[in-house]
Amino acid sequence: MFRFLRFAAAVGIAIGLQIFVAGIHPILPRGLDFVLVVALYYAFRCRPATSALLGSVLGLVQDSLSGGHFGLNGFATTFGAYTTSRIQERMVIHQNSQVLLLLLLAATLQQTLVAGLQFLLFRDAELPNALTTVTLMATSSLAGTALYVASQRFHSWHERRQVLGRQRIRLED
Amino acid sequence: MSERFNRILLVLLLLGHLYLLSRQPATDGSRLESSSLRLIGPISRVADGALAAVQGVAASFRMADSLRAENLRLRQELERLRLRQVYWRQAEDELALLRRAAAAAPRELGESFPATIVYIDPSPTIRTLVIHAPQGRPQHNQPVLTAKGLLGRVITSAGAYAKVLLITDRSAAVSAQIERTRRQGLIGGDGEGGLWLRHVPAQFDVVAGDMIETAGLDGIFPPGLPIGTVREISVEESIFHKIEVAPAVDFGTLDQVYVLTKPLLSEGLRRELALVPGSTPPTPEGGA
Repeated sequence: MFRFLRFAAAVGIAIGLQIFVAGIHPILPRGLDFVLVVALYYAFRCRPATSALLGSVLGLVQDSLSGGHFGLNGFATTFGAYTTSRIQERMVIHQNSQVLLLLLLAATLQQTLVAGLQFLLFRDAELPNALTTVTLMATSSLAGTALYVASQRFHSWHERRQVLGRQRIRLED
Repeated sequence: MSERFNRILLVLLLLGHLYLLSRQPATDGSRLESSSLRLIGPISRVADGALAAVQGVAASFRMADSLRAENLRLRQELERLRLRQVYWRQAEDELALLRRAAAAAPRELGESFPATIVYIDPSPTIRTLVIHAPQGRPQHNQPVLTAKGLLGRVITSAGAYAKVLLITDRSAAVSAQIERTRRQGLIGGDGEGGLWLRHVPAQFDVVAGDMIETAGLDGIFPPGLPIGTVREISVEESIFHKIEVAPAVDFGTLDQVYVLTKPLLSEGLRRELALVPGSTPPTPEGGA
């Protein structure tokens, strides 16, 4: 339940930030997709089945915010999240640069799928601007990595505090 | 969870998304999309409100000096407009008298309710926005306009929230006419913010600066709504003019919009044309 609430809060914050940034300047959300960042982060942290489910929900959120074909981002984000999770499961990741590389790969896969599906399925489709897409992929993977590193640091700090707390209790006894 | 379960789940989810993609055309909202919009709409409104508050505080600090002067100017403007109102009231009475004399039915725009914009889609090729209308329930295909002119139409609605397809979208097509000559054509966007009036034969007279308005032939938009002015005309090798239109609405400064609610066709005519659910078109008497 707590995990679900945390996920719902993350989605809410991502949507809020997306709209906040769009309000500052309409061109800004083209270069950074907060919902995609959350999808990448959860893909990296969760198991493949959970990642696919969460990716599916987040993709539909992206579709709701955009005026495009409903289900396009849903498909791409589900597949991207699942693939990221599968790769992460099979690799031993020690460095932040490896996290960044994997998330960059996931963002590239997601964007390629969106463009590819649009091109394949819809007659009036146009390929997205290359510069915008590259910027979106780079910023989203960077933000996803930053979020992952911050959460790792928070977890280790929290664990240290708990260990210290237990030692203090033992000394007082 | 087993490997097999993961794969089955992924395939089911992907098939679900493909089903969603195949079910709805680009401009018709599905029930799932409406539900999703209903959930996301309030979050969008809160974020928009927060942004407005932050910008408002910043702006009030920045403009404290100029606000006093502006207040004074607006008071003077209000007085001037009050005087104008007296004049317009007289003109309105005069017009009503003339209408009665000519037995002409007034061209009514219909009823409308205001709405605020909570989100603008940043996508470069698709032009949509999400609106919130606390005083009404936007419905599919209802026209949306600003005080300056036509903005678009509702494509998905969810309670007080609705998604609006702008006239500058590539898939938008509005029946339009040149106000001066009444020559009709189709107006649509290029997805980059530009508007183009198409299907106006090259031999017909069009000049830069001509006003473009809705023709009212598409069954969605009432006639006479300003769309823009002709910016540039080129003939090329086609039999039609290539007319670029400067939109009347500034899409960069959108805030308050209005949703038109009244159907364009009268209830009787809608029934005759079988546009009302459950009604059947009358059979022609004595017709073959």
